[in-house]
Amino acid sequence: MGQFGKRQVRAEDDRLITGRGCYIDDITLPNMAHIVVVRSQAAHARITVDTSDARALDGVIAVFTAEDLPEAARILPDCHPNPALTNPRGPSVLANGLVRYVGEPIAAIVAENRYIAEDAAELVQVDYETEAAVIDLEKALTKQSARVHEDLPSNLAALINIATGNADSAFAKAHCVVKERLEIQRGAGQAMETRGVVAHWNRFEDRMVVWNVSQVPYVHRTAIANALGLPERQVQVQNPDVGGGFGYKGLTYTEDILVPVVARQLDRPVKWIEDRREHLIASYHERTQIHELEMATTEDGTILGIRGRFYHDTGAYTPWGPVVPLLTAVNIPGPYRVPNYAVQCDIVYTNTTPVAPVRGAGRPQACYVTERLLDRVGKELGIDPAALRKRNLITAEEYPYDVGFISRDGTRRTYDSGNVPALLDRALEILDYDNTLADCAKLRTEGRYRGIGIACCVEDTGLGPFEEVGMSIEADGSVTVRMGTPSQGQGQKTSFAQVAADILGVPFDKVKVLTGNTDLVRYSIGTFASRAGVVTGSAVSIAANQLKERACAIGAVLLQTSPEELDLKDGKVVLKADETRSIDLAQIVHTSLGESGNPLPLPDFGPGMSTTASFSPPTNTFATGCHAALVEVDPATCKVEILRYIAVEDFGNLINPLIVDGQVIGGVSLGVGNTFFEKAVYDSEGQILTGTFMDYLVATSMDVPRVEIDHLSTPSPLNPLGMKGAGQGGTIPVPAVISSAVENALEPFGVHLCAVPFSESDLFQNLRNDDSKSTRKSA
Amino acid sequence: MKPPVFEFAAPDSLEHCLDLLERYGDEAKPIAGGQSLMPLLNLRMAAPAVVIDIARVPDFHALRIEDRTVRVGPMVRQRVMETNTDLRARVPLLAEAVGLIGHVATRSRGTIVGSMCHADPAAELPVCATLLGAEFAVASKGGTRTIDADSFFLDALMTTLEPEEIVTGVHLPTAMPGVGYAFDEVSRRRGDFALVAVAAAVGLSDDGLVTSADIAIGGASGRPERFPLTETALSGRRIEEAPLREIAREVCDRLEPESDLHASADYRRRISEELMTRVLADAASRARKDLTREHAL
Repeated sequence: MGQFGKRQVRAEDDRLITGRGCYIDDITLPNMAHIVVVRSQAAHARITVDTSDARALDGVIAVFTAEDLPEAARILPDCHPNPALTNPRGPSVLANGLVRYVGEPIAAIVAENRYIAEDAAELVQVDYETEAAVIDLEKALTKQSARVHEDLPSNLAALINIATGNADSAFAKAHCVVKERLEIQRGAGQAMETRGVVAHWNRFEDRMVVWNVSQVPYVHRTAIANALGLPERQVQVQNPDVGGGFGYKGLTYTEDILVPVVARQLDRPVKWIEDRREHLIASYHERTQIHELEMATTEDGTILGIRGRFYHDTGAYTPWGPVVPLLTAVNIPGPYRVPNYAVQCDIVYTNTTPVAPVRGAGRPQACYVTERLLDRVGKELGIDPAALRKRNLITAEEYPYDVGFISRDGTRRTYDSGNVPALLDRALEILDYDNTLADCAKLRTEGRYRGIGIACCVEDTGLGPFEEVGMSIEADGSVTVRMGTPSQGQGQKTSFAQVAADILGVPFDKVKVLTGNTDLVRYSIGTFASRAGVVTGSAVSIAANQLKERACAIGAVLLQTSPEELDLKDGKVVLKADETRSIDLAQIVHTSLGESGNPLPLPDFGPGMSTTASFSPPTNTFATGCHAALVEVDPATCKVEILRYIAVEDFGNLINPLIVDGQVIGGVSLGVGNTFFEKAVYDSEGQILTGTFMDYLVATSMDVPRVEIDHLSTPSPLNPLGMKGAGQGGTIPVPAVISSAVENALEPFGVHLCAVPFSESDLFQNLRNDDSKSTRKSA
Repeated sequence: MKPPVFEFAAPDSLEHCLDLLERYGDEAKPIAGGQSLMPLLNLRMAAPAVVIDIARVPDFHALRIEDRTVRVGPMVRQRVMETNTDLRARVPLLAEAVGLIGHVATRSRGTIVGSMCHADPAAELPVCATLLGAEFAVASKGGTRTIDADSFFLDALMTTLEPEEIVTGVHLPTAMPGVGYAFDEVSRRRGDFALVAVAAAVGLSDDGLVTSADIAIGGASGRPERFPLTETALSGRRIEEAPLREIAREVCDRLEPESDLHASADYRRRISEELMTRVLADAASRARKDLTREHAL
């Protein structure tokens, strides 16, 4: 049968692409009211709010501020508390007298429809007594700087130090030291579906029923239950089809609490749909970091150490603990041998939208800075970029590889398995590296500027603590899988059906996967950090193996043989030696359930074919990748064309390579956006200038090259199916790869790229600056 | 992102349309394809009391292709520039520019005249209208008048159209024999408004010497600007012998583009220069092909 590893077309697609999907805004309940959130227009101000005109408008049902609604004064929970974050600060549900970023929720208008609610929002009078806004990441740490949180001594949320070996002594004896100041600017996830919540109090069952776009419905269940003072069983959170997650939907936002609270208060169904403008301004951002790093090497380019400091902008609050900067700090060594490492990270508050993980989550920054430093070393020492990387990559024999410090999850950071040199070789082979280099050199003599970029990365995936799965074989022999990790488009109903079908020997379309409803299983963590495939997928395999064992044990009784002689095939328990002797799974279920009123026919086994299983990974499993690009730059217009883009990935064993390819292509698309387009811009007063898709650009299908994908697999020893997470690997190396390629293409002009994203205009400026620099040098 | 309350009117004749414009004046805003007005309404950046849907006026859908003029009604979609081979042959500049305007979906809704009336200085169609010297046929209760492109575009998102007036058609001159046209732009992404767009028309004599040259530049000022180059060093020379770069630099040094999130003023100026040299050369080479074909006929 071989369902595992098959390029199975997604079971979800027929429904979704023929317009039969059900997203939050498709949910309409009788007598439903609509919420619009009034947001701060100031970056830092004391506020007084007058809602009387808004309340008076026809069609307005209620207006709430923090004063009107005790629940709204609650502080939103930190989703990833961590003692490393010494000065955590969270926002209240609605601003309580003070706003700290443009877009911070101040009031909620409830009206008969969204149009009226927006009219009323314009009538809310907010008096802003503005305070100095902290916008510049580096100035925020100066003594003279205003403070985002007055109760803190400075804008420092935490200092993190990650180290191994002795960096200073390594640098002292180095042959080559390069130093760079590198900047990664603010970007965000732009899922096709914005956030949204529908909530209503179910009077028949006395419970709060919520639909939202959550990546972590069980976290939201807890938060909503706490806010409403209810036990968790009286809260149900459901996620219908969700149009993209990107990580930032894995947090508890104001509306996740506010909408159920208002629905309870008014005893009416309430809907809130975030519009794109709100999404661009107020759904949490990521990426902003400034790095000042050095790399030391021997004469042959062997890395001796990396040291330095970077500044991470966490925005006005710390909704996801210190996870993003911590991930950057531990990922800088990447798949390379870095025996001596000492990096300090300053996590800094600014009066901007809070920062949470966005696909890649701190790792694109880490990959970017390391690869930029390697390019500098290559240039300094005259070593080919591919050879330089190969020299420093951890070899297959060195795995499991102890990186030398503690990981995000508190365990010793150990790469479980991998073979990145093989990924690099394969990427070079696909690129036809030597011939392509020769082509580039030849074209350069004709005034055409092509360049190659290469980058390698690791990603900590499949993190704990657990996922739980329930599985049943139904009376008709079909299989139902129940799980807690919701889908935001990852194709879980396909891939997990494949895992179960493979083990249970049933056709793929006989497996129904249910998710996105907190009633399905008791406990779950959620879909983020490239973990659902690994952790839930493993739990599915364990549950399926339990049912297989049980089916064979019952089959052995019925077929009068021993379980070891049996296998599952085509929906039947079959005798391995003679497959004509078999019994349908449906029959097994039927037999084991017995007849109404009679004793169980097989009392030793108990009734039915149902089980639950959970899987707890000991620690992260590390996915790796090597990407390469060939670009051509028109030096007159500075337009960059990506001629080829190659992604060779090691995600361990793949459940469904077709779905994984989709993940890679989607990831690369975001990476292209992170390289050229996606940039949230604030002015010096903290006004955000990128509030529409005219200003904040994402890469469209027209801008993303065809991605040439290959997979080489080193199975993970940390889970039963040898899997690794594939959700972010496509994104991580892209800015590094394309920056390298563009710099390589423009080598004759001495272009020096130190920041992403960069536009054609930025590149033009860079080219001219470097022109004048090289003129000065030669003069 | 929901519009404030507005009245909606859908007149089925020009007469009725003009009545409404007369009655509501600057309180009213006509809507054709809605590709600019709808976002403006939803962002509450425009709040007209009355939105007049002009789609039901039958004459407004007319596209008349005549020997010397193409008359484009205000409801003719941009998509026509891709699908109508006759139009593409008669006004090759539109055929070249259309692929740079938004995407198939927006071109299927957006209208040619609508884009011109919206007067975004970085939009492709106003640049085309400016280069070609298009004429706007305008009507109001008071009568009709014709405005040429040079006087039609006033500044960013502003035209000389009066509130009670409506454009009933734009008249574009068809390509002249021995004249080549070219259009090029740099934009952030494919389909975006241009950072800078440049269109050129170059006429050649039978022996390949430049007899006329014009360019129009969009995105480098509040409105598309036209620069006649017939009186410059281009004239009377073969294009490959002409000091294109110097001429372009001289023109572009006079531009006063602005910096914004997407590009610096300096970039816009220098790219104008680059694009100008490219489109002049392209236009001339097309003119030469045109002559060769004429001779072959």
